[in-house]
Amino acid sequence: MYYWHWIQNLLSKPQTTGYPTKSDPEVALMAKEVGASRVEPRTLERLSIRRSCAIRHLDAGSCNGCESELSLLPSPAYDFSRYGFGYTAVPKHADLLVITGVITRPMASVIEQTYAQMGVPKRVVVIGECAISGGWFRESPDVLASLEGIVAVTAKVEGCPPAPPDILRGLFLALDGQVPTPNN
Amino acid sequence: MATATATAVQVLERAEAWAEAWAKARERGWETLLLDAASDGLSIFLFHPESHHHQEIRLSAKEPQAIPLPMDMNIGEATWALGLAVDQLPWLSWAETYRHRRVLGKGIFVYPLGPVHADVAESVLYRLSVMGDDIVRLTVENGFKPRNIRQLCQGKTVNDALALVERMTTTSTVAHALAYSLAVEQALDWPTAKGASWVRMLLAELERMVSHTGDLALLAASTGLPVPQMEYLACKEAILRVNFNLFGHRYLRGVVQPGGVTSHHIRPPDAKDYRLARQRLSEEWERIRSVRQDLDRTPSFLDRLDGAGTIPLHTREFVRPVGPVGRAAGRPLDVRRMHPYLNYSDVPLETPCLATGDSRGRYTVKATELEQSFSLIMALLERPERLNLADQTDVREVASAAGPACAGTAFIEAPRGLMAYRVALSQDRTIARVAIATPSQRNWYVVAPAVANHNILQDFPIIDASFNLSVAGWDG
Ligand code: SF4
Repeated sequence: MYYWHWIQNLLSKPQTTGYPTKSDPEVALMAKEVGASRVEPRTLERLSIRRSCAIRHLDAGSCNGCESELSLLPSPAYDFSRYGFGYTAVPKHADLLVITGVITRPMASVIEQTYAQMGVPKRVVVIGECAISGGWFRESPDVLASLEGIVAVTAKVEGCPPAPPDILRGLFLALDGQVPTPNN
Repeated sequence: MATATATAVQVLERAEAWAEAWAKARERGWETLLLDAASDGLSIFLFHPESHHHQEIRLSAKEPQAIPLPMDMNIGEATWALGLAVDQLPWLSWAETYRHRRVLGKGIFVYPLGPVHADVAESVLYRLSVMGDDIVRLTVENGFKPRNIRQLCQGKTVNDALALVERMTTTSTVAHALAYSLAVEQALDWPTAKGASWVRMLLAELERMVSHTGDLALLAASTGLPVPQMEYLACKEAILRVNFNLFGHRYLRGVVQPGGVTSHHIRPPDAKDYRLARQRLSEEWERIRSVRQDLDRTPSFLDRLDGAGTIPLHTREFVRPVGPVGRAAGRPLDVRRMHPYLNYSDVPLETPCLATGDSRGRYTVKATELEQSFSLIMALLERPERLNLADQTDVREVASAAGPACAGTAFIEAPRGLMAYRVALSQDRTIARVAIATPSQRNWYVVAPAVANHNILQDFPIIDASFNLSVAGWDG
């Protein structure tokens, strides 16, 4: 039985998409262009992180949609560890801070503290409309419009929620300063 | 809810009588749906699962008065809603505020855990009081992410408010949109077309599968089993892609609307798309079945779940948990069966119910429900001619018409359990008020007593994962 699975796996095509470094039309369809994502030059100190990047996730007030997509990154479909990404439980180990959800007043200081705990070099990626601009909850009294004045943002990934391929591209953007172009 | 039965309204003026009437009804088997703080009074909506009767008990107070705290009368299912009601009604106050208890003693340590957690998780703060390895007490502190959705909805148009409530909890997008739409439809007396109802059922069950696969993946991960975790995640991704291919959004956002359903694709799904979806999903069946079979044969997995996080009986009576959490603790309540909405009365449905109340029970109930949702989806996809998106109420026509103020109530079975909505519309057809009872806002109150019930620290992540409730749905 075991060997049968083994042979099957050898013969079948991999479950993991090559996207974003290789093209995959099915996944590309779900990924919108990371239109507004850009790298803000002032935060780009020379990076000594190469292909082993620990990510700390922080929920600042999300609806758990962005989390749901983030939790799919280690899954066989996207397997972000093939690029060296992985989640870490400790901010001191983290290179990238990934923030989801609206920035609520109670969480603002928590974000600051978490960021302060991270070693240098460090980068911040914000995921989803909520974290970028407050999204649909901008008018809420407990919601801050953006991360301005709290931490410096390196890359933004638009979408509600952004699909995993887009999040991957956002991570690349934060790390390399550019999004890889799919090639075969 | 075209066949909504009439609601018996009981209006009381004295706070004590109101609280007593509620407690009495509850003893006679009435289920609390939701608490609605309208300007003319504080209403409690109840439903009787056996007789299918609806009841509203309204406290219409003329002058400010202190209301006996329901928790003191052994009513624990609306704890979170009580606080929300106070914010909306200035004349209202509760007789006593809830007392937080603390454990003191030599050798007791308190582990604060959160609000930021390891891996990918929502923000909530746990305080574990432990004595050695034993968990003596747990307090769960929420409120780190208030978005005030209920408040934001006021004065919005029907569609703008829909966008807000859908984002309450994304793993229950369809459930929120559906309960909201049903409530609006009831308020405005719109009939729901059969075709749209079938599609809505398909959407609701797809969402249940996504939610349950996610929960089971987390549970497998918490016991240190990455293989089933990855299998479940792969399955979840496959369903999300089916969602995207059929309706143009992975979490089906904006698909259910008052009046019917819509698709983000220019071309709504046709028989061919449904056939493809069916084919894609049936490939997942093999996976779901074999993972469960293997898990059911893995003692290192089952032993960790057996007896872990058992909900104490008095907590069960106090909070009356809903959904899989309730069904794993001997409460068979499933709205799809007890009060069929959409076309649920036309399909066979056997909801699992166990009496254990532990993590193993929650695992079994979720795994079984996953299989049932799968067969239900297969049966729905087999008859694509019924899944007709064109068969629905034309909303544009009805939506613009102004009329007298009205309100509607709806309750459904979300992936995490009973979800109730009451939507009140003003004359210009904007939202006057929404009252929302999410399953998580209720079920969270069983987590702490279940964890502090003869468990050790190492059990905590497993128990937590076996519940996997939504914090967003609690904080609002
Ligand atoms: S961007 Fe969308 S999915 Fe992400 S947290 Fe906000 S509402 Fe939820």
